[in-house]
Amino acid sequence: MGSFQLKHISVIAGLAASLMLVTGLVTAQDSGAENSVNPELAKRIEAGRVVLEDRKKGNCLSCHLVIGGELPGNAGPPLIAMKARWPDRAALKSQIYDPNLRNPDTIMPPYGRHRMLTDTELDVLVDFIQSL
Amino acid sequence: MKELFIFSLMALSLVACGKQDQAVATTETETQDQATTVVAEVAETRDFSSLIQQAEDLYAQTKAANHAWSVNLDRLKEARQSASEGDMDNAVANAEEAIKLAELALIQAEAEKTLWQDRVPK
Amino acid sequence: MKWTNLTALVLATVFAGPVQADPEAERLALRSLYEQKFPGVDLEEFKNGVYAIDEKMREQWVEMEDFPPYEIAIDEGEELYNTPFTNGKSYADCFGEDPGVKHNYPMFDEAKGEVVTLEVAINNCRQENGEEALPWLVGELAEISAYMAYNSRGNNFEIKIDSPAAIAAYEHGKQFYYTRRGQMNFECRSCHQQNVGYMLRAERISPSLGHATHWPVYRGRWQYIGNIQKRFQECNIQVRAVPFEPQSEEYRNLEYFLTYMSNGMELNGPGSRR
Ligand code: HEC
Ligand code: HEC
Repeated sequence: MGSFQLKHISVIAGLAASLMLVTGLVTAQDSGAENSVNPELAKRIEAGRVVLEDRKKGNCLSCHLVIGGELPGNAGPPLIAMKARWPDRAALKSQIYDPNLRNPDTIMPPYGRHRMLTDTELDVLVDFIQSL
Repeated sequence: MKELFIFSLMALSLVACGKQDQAVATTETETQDQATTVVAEVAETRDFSSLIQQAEDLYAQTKAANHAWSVNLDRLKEARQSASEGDMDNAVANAEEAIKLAELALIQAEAEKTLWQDRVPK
Repeated sequence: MKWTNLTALVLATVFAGPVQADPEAERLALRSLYEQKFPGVDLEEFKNGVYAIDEKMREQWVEMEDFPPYEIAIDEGEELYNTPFTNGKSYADCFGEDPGVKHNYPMFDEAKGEVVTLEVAINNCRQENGEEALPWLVGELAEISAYMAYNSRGNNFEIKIDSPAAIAAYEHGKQFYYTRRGQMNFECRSCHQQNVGYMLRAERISPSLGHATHWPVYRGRWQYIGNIQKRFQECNIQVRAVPFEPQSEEYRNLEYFLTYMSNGMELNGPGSRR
C-alpha cells in the first residue's frame, strides 16, 4: 500500500513538473522568441541535430550539407537559411514526412510515411532545421 | 494560464484518488484478484499469439512479393525475443510495429508493379 | 547484333504477344544518359567504375593495382581449375580449351529456360561430374571465376538475348533494377543514375554502365574476393530491404540485365575496389 501511494505521488509530481515546463515554454514563446533562445527550445534543437546526424535515424548528412555536420554528401541541396526559405513548419515537416508528395521521382526517403522517424523526432528535426 | 495549471493538478489528484480506491478494493479480495490476473495473462498470451501470427503472415506476404524490409524482420525478432522473456508490453509493441511496416511494404509492392515502367531511360 | 535483336523482337511479338522491350535501344539510351551526365568522359572508362570520374580515388586505386590484391586468388583459381575431378574430367570438358569465356555470361539457357551466370555454370559443371557445388559468394568459386575472368581480359561482352523467354528474363531484371525497395524506398536507379557522380557521405557513386566488367572484385572492406551478387546484396541491405539469395532467379535476371547494359565493353576483371 505504502509503495503504491509513493509511486503515484511521484507520477503526479512528474506530470506537474512537465506541465510547468510546457506552460513555461508557451509563455516564453508568447513573450517573443527574439531575445535569447529559451532553454526548452534549445534542448529540442539539440535533440533535432542528433536525429539529423544519427546514421540509424535521419542520416540526412549522407545527402545534405549542414553547417557543423561531418562528412556531408551533396546529392540534395545544402540545408542553409532554412528559416527564411522554409518558414512554414507544416510544409517543412511534410517535406521530411513524405518528399514524394512534392516530387514523386525524388531520391529522398519518406521518413514519416515509412516510419523511419517518429512524430516527436520529426518535430524536433523541424525545430533544428528552422534554426539553420 | 495559472488557472489551467491549478485545474490540471486538481484533475490529476482526482484520478489518482480513484486509482487508490480501486487498489484498496483489490487487496480486500486477494484470491479473486489472483484469479483475474491468471485470466488476464492467458488473454494477453492469446492476444499476442494472434498478433504475432498476423505479423508473421504479413511478413511472409512481403517476402513473396519480393518487397521484404529488413526493419520489419528486426521488429519480428524483437517481438519473439521479448515474448520469450516475458516482456509482453514490448512484445506487443514490436508485433504491432511489424504489422504496420509489413502493410507499408505491401503498399510499396503494389504501387511499384506499374510505376517502374516510366523510369526506364528512352 | 542489330539483326539478332530484330529477330528476337519479331519472335517476341509473334509468340508472347505485344512485348515492347527493345534491349538494344535501352542499352543505347542508358549510354546516352551517362554521356550527358559526364560530357568529355570516355564511356569505355566506366569499366573502372567510380575511378573514371574521381581523380583522387583513381590515384589511390592505381597505386593499389601495382600489387593487385586479387593476384593470389587468380593463382589459387588456376590451380583449382586445372585439378581434375575424381572422374578424371575437368572444367575444360565443360568450358573448352580457353577458360576465358566470361564475356558470354550470364547467358540464357534455352533448354533450361533460365539465366545461367558464370558461377552457376561452374557449379553445374562440378555437379555433372559428381562433385559438390561450392558456396556461391566467396571462396573457391570466386577464385575459379577470378582465374576465368583474368583469361577473359580484353574480350568484349557479347551477351545475347535471342528468344521470347530470354527477353522475359531481361525484362524481369530490368523491372528489379527500376523498382523502389526497402524502407528507404530506393531503386538501383536512385543511386546509380539519379545520384551518379554525387557523394553519399564520403562515397562517390558510380554509373551502372561498366558495373559488370570487372568481377569478381577484391574489396578492401571485405578483405577478400567476392562476386557481383554479394554487391547486389549489400546495395539491397543499404536501403533496408531484405537481400535475396545468391543466384536466386531475381539476382540472376538482374545480372543478365545489368551485364547486357555493358554489352560491347571490355572485360578487365578481376578488379579491386575500396
Ligand atoms: C538520399 C538523399 C537524401 C537524404 C538521405 C535526405 N534528403 Fe532531403 N533532399 C534530397 C534531395 C535530392 C532534395 C531535393 C528535392 C527533391 O528531390 O525533391 C531534398 C530536399 C530536402 C529539403 C528541401 C530543401 C530545399 O532547399 O528546398 C529539405 C528541408 C530536406 N531535404 C530535408 C532532409 C532531412 C531533414 C533529411 C533527413 C531526415 C533528408 N532531407 C534526407 C535528398 C535527400
Ligand atoms: C543508396 C544508394 C545505392 C543504391 C540504392 C544502390 N547502390 Fe549500388 N552502390 C552504391 C555505392 C555507394 C556503391 C560503391 C561506390 C560505387 O562504386 O558506386 C555501389 C556499388 C555498386 C556496384 C559495384 C560497382 C563497382 O564498380 O564495382 C554494383 C555492381 C552496384 N552497386 C549495383 C547496384 C544494384 C544492382 C542496385 C539495385 C539493386 C544498387 N546498386 C543500388 C550505392 C547504391
